[in-house]
Amino acid sequence: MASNDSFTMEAEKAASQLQSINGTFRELVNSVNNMVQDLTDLQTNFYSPAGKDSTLIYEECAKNIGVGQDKGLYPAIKGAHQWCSAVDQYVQDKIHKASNGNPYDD
Amino acid sequence: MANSYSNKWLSATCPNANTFYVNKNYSKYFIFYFPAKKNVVELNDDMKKIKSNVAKLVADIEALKGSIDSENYRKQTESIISALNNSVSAIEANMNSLFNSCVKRLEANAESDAWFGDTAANYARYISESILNRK
Repeated sequence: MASNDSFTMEAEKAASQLQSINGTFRELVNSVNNMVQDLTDLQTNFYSPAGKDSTLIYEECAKNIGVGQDKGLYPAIKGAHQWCSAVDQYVQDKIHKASNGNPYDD
Repeated sequence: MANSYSNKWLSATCPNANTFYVNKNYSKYFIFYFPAKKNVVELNDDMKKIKSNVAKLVADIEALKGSIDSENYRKQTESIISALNNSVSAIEANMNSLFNSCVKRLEANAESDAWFGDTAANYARYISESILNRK
């Protein structure tokens, strides 16, 4: 029983941490979206007759941000969010089982 | 006095202007208004916020890892954290290149038109006089 109580406490701590992480995700996605907008503005405003090098670097930046791609910061955030959702499900499941007195019954 | 007049004209005409580019190869002078420098400053701020938010997220995920009693989930955190850090490093490296490239380009434009004078006040005076004389 002591073991079950200990596990429940850790699981509830994890549930609280997951809630805090959701706020961080929102802030991160907002800051990345701001960067995408400012990058787009820069491309629009930065006219130069010989500005091809800047255009190439812009494209490289956009690629590393990874909007609509499978590599870059956006996919990494998406992957982290999916991971947190899976952990959340795992933790909730453990809490549910612990409340029934058997957290390790898979 | 001339500088004062020009700066007032510059402020009144283009309150957000950072740099002017006057292309002398055209028969009529075209003025390219560059808020690009402002965008570069904003991008620099964006980069700082992203780095700070990713660092916070990584710290949160690291803390969460200690509360999980699954070896499989713990291992997955390593690749998640690595992907986040690698992405930020790649963006930062490109952003630095982009900033340098933009600054060099802005400077090169100013130098190529140095015969107009190399200050914003001189550009503004020249531009204002050109516009007035065309009428």
